[in-house]
Amino acid sequence: MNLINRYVYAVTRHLPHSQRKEVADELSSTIQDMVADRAKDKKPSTKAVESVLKELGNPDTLALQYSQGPRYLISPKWFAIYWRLITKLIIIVPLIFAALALVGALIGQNTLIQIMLTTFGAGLGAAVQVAFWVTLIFAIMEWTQVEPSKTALTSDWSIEDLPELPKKRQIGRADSVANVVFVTFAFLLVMAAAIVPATWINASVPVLNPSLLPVWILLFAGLVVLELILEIFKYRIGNWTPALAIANVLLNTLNVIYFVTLATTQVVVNPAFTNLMRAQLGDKLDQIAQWPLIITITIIVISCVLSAVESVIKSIQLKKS
Amino acid sequence: MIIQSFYNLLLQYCMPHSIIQNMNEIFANQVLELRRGTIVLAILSTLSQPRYGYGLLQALDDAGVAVDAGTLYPMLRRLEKQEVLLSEWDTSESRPRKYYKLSDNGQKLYAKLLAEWRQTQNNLDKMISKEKI
Repeated sequence: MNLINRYVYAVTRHLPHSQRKEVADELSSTIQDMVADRAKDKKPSTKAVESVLKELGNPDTLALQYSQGPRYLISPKWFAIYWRLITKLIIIVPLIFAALALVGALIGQNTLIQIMLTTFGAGLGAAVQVAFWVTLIFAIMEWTQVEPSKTALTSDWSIEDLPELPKKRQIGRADSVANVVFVTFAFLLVMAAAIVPATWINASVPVLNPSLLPVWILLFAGLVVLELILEIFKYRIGNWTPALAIANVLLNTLNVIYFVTLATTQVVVNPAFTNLMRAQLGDKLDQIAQWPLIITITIIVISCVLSAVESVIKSIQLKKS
Repeated sequence: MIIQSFYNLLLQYCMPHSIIQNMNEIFANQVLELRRGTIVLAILSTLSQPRYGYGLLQALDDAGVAVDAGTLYPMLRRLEKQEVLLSEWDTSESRPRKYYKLSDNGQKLYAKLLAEWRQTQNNLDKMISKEKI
């Protein structure tokens, strides 16, 4: 009997108070019926009770069957929308915060380890926040029985809600956004490299030559602004119209002129930085010193040329179609 | 290189086994769905006379439609809440026992469900005999 009482207690302890007594009484009564049935006319033994209880199974599982509340945090009604939203946000938001933290850490003159930790920490923190708040809001909407709007996944669908077919664009939306982000980021990095001591490689001076300030850096800023404006037009127009292609070619030409002139007429790397490196690397410095700049400029020139050529080709294709 | 070939070997061996496992699971799931669909009808059909909880369990078992106690009793509670069943405690014997019977709503529900079930049976049989799989 004690075993039966313990089993019944194990099942009913998680149930709401209102149900408890009734369920306990019925369950106890049933178990005793089952035991009596097994034992036939003999006196019920502990073994019989044990085998009945084993047959009934895990009391927690039984208790679960009795529970009546919703068995989900976010039901199918909201889940599809929730999942789409959170998978997008959890990539974009942490990236933004990590990028901001990176720039801030560079400006704040930290060591490399500190920069890496700060960036990663900002990204991770942002990801956790996104996961928590988005889930919480959807769970609350679920709990308070808010209904999705008409344009979401409901059966109140009408023909007017059909989306237009996406127009074929030569310039992808995602590409434009990525370009803007990349250019802005590059600009910030260059500014940091020009002004801020490069503590992340244990240097106490900026990497770029301070004599480049203000003229050359301002010219660079001007090019960045032109590039951003061009990106906005690219995004709005979506295809390589002749005007857009010409503008792109012009801008890339300007870029090439700027960078080649910069590389050939100016000392780009800070002499103080070079001296520091010489102190660390000695004669090896003279062998490798020119290469970073040459490689960078080559890459920039090649990508400008490619971009210009691509825009012209696509513009011609557009005219043909 | 070695790791790759080992991985391929493992995959080749395990894949057929995992597919068979899947088929068993799929079958078990479908059987579960079938039984879940018919359990209420089965319960209602046994209640042509009032029955004790355990008696219900036995009746179903005898008929070959065994339902385990963990599923049956909560379902009886739900049906009672929906006013399909009525319950009373029989205190006449030494041990009080709870018994269930069909309410008026329950009887009407049973009649309609039964008709629906026969209809479904008919339709399925006709369709299957036409398809001749």
